Amino acid sequence: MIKFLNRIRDRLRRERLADELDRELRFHQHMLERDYITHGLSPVDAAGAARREMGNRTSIREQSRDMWSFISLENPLNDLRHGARALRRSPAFASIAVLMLALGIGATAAIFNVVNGVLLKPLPYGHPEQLVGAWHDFPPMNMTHIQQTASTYFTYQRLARTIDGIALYYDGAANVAEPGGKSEPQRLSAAWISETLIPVLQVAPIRGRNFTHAEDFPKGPNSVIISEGVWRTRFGSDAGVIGKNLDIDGEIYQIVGVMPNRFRFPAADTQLWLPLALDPSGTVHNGFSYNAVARLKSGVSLADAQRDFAAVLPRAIELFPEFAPGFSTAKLFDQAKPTPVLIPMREDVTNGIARTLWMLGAAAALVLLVACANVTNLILVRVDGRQRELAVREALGAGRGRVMMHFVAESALLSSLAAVLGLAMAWIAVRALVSRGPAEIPRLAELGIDATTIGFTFVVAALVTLGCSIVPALRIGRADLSSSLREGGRSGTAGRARRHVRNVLVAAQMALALVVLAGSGLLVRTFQNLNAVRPGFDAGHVSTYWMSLPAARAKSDSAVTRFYTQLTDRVAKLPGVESVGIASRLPLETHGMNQNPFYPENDDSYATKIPPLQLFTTIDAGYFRTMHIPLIAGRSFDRLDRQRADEAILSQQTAQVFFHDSSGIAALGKRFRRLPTGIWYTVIGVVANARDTSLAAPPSQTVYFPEVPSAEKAAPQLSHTMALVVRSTGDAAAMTQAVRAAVAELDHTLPIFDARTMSSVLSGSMAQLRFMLLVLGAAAAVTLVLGAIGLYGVMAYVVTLRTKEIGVRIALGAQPSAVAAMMTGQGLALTAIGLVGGLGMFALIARFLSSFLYGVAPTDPLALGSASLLLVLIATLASWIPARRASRVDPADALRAE
Amino acid sequence: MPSPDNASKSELLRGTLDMLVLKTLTAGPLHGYGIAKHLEQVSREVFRVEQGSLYPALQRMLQQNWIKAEWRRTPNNQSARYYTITAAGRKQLGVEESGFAQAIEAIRQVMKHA
Repeated sequence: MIKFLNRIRDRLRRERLADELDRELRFHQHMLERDYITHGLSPVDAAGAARREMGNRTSIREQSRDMWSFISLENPLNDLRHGARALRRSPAFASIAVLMLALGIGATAAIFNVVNGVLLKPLPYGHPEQLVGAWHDFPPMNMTHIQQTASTYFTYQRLARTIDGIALYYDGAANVAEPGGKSEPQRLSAAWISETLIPVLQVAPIRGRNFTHAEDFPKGPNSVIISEGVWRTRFGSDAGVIGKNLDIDGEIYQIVGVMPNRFRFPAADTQLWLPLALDPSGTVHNGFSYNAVARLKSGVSLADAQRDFAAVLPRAIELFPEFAPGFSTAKLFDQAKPTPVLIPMREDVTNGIARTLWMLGAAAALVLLVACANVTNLILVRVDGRQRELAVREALGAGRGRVMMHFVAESALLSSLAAVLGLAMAWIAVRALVSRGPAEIPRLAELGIDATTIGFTFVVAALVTLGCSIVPALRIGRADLSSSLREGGRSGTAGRARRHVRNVLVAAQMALALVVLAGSGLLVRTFQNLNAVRPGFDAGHVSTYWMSLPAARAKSDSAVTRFYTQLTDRVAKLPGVESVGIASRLPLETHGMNQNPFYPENDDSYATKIPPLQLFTTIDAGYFRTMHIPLIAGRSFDRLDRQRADEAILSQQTAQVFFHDSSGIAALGKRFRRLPTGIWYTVIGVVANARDTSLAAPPSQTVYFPEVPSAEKAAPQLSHTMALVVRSTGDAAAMTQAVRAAVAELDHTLPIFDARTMSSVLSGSMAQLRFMLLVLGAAAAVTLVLGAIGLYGVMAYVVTLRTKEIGVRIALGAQPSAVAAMMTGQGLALTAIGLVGGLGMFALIARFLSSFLYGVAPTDPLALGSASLLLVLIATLASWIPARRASRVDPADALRAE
Repeated sequence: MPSPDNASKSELLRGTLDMLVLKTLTAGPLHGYGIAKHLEQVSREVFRVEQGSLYPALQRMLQQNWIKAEWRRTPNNQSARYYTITAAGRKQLGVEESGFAQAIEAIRQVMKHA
């Protein structure tokens, strides 16, 4: 240790030490000169003799200098320069290595950017670590992630001691126009929020103010807060925007504030915020339909807050005795046993996507590993090819450290170039992802290559440098370089150990490639299975159009029904239209999702527990015709203007659950209620199941109501926001123009939004899977190609090494085909080792994959088998090409060459 | 430290040079030229100390803390760098002397019995 410190000290005063040594040597020479003069030489001869005797002063200086410093760290610039020269001399090696590393680094950087931006980066709110999403679990009903209702919200707001505020929000959209109807209305993404939201998130408006208490109160003044985007585009960044008016869903709202661009809440495209205006008396019953975010007091832990919430929640029973008409809060608590669940907001926001992203990150890391293994192999080949050069350099006095340093410098150059190229690739990939990635990825719009990503990329590059140079450096460290000088040629070097390392690397590459291949094979099978799922409806030739009838325009409930009857009548007459219908919710979309209990008549089992929730959807009879959902029992609805309000149609699954008859006949004529009290609905028909929520989920239990005014106040089944579904004889997408025109004839202020074909909804429901498949498939292709290149490289090298032996074999009468088979066999043996290792690795990680799969086990023999087969095929090709070259060796040439 | 059985010839010589220099310095501080001169005279010119070996050896021993160096005036009033043996150097000398004695003894045994 002391010696090491001495070294550091000496390094720091190296200039002075060199100077001292010089003086010392001059003194010595001077003394020698004097000696010679006393021995009778002339001063000139004495000086010469002394100089000769001193020998090479520079060499003494060099040797001492090495002792004063760390040769290995000396002059890295020199090494880099040298490395750059070496790489320029072999552009093929350099470009292949850079390209391979860039692929690996680029993939890793791109995924890191997404993981960091989506999962790791703090949310753009004040003290985001204090923010939590507040939910409930209903353990007896096996339900999790239940939202808030007005009564739970007010209970927490008034009584919870561990929070600095709680806020509710509700995500939606609104029709927005200039007051006076001068401009075309626009459908903008909007959120209804409590006045507490903006203070809880701690983001100040850039203009104006937050809502006042009076504004966030039933029948309060109509106020709206707009986004910076709306302010800039619609109002041209007008400084006097506060106080101006907007027509929102047919009513006039006054602008009171502008939120900055970074405030993307709750959705990235939210443009308007409107007061939720809940009645603090809690007499309006909307069920658990609001999301909540709370801010913990500083120093309060999640567990503390959760205990606090759990302690105050039962107080809701006395504060808000009635949960819904005829349904007391006490009964709800008794039957559903709601338990508060707080989730850190960052997890809450990224819920569902985190696993996907981490998995893609793992895939990117595998690509990088394979690329590194490949480049290491290439460097090893170079080390072997330069044995003599290195031996000569060492013989001339270059320390081993120096020689190793040279290779580290070369790797450093390669990986820095690769990092720059990889960053460019990552930039392109992230851009493509932001513009075309699956919409379910939250915070996607916030992404961009930033300093963190650049830093990360260079850290990865440094690791790659280490990784790629450590094996070759160890080789040099251990190799007996002088023996390679003596033995002269390459035949003597590249011994078994050296080849062994390379074999291990190639087998590892094969193993990693198999893991990625098998993973994407399983996803392909999942994709096939999902595509093979019969959704229960026929998406072909169906186009859908959402519209929202403003309450101000459709003043009465019957006006709404009248509007939709007129609209469907008009659209039905359009040329090319086969049938038309309306629905408050479309399969595989979340919009309009409404789950409610179903109390069948004469069934006592639900007196003490809440019955399983059903999806409630309001439709007209044309919906089933248009979606080709067959009626299996009873009859369908009549025309809306003649339809009774108290009739309903069940899905087969609902009929099965409540009436235990899959034919649907037992359900016909039976009655049910939406609550333990209220009006009775009669089942008039049963339709076949449709995959409503997702293709992978079991058929949903759906109850269909007619879109007509209901006598029941508490459960308004009439929906102002409806989707028009149109089945046409021709191209579904081509209908849009005609349908828009038909809507405009009825009401030109009514914007149509989300016009798309049902087929695109169907494929959109698989967007995240397709995205994963795409990324993983690309990773599989890259690792496979890299693995094949690695194998090819090693086999080609082996052939070169054994040219002489092969020549002898052929000269002794070996069949060229036998030689080729022998060499190919060697490559396949490596592949087999990789295959076994890969399957073993895959077995370890398979269980992490199972949550991504549908209808296929992680050990699916077909997926694993075809992945293995593909790997073997590629490996055969990669080793056969060099093997064939081996079989064509001309014995005479081979023997003469050495 | 290389184990004695695989120490190469040059290492043996280098170790010997260290030992000889340390031994020389036990008589008192001396400069590089003086050390070389002393070794030549005492060994009756059998050892010709190469400056190329001596100075690197001195630097090495400085780093090992076996010797110290300081600039002083020679009797002829010239500036020269004088080396002094340290306590650590004396200890090292002891180690090397006994090792050397063992080696000589071993060689003698071999020569006797061969």
